[in-house]
Amino acid sequence: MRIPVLLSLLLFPGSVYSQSLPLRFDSLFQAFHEKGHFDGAVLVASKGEIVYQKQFGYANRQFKVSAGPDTRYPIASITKLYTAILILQLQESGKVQLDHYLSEYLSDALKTAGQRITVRHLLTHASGLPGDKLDDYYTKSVPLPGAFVRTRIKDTLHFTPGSKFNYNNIDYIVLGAIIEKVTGKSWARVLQENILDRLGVVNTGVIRLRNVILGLAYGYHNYSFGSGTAADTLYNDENPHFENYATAGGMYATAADIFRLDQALYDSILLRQATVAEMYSPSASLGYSKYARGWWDWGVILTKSVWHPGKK
Amino acid sequence: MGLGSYINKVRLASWKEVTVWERRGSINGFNTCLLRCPDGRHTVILLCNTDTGDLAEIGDAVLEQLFR
Repeated sequence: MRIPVLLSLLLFPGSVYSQSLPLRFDSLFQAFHEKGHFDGAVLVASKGEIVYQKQFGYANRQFKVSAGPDTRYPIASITKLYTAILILQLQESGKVQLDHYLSEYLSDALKTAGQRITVRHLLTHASGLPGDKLDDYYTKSVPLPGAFVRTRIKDTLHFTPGSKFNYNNIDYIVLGAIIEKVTGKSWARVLQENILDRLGVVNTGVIRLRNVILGLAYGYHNYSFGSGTAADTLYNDENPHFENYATAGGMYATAADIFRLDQALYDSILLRQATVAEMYSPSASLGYSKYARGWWDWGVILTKSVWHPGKK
Repeated sequence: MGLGSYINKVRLASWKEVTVWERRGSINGFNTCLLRCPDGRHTVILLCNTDTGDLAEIGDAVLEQLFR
């Protein structure tokens, strides 16, 4: 699907290239939306200034409620960025050391595996812990990461910690359990006090399935991921117990609120710059994900698998 | 992999290679994407409530324009 978009940009440069950046983005996203490939919120910033911000489609299709600037979206694994920031704040205050073992922080769960897994292993998806099961998110609500870790995760390792990358929601749920143990507070409260209040954002929070959250978008699917058309039928999502995803995927936000977080990382509002630099240094053993996207780049492996399509 | 985000070296259509810090998400119809490019302080945020789009393609297209 990338080929037609890039080809059209080359064949019809005047239609896009001669326009200003906001107009170019509007043409781009209008085209994606009309093809049925984009419903939601987009925010683009350059040099720290917003150059384009718009919403497309419906927040709720049943009642034809249009998406707007205050529409809140479940952000799924973008939650993990917030979790990483909370852990790094605890490192800055001396309450957590990234290269110390899990067993130092959690005495009531993962007693064997925890003696070999470090906090850094969890942050970089290199823990070796068993993966999550879809049922974990569709059965009973287990809203606290600590309870989830105690009741749903086997105390075993599938590979030597640190030896390889294996994407696993469990890693970040365990980090949530650490946050709660070290602070003595729920992770939602720690999030509110240490990130959301400091940013002054009001459209970001934690999803609880039973709670009425104003402006929360409904989800729809047909598994097309860019291969379908606007005429294809969409189906209602079965809503999981989002709270079970907790620190791995249990948050909602608006694009504007996420932008505030993004800028805060440049401006040392949440973390010192040295910590941000550490956050964005590739793991010594795992390195960069290096790939190129472009149909003419035959020499580089196109790693669609890096994007992890599907449930996260 | 960094701490909380992927760190990718991406080669654009112009053959320019850029560093992109990425965080993506997907739960059922909710598909999300945060791209941060420190070189230029560029940011791309995509929050979708359908799974009908290829956010890699869309993110690429935005980066191409930002780095043109």
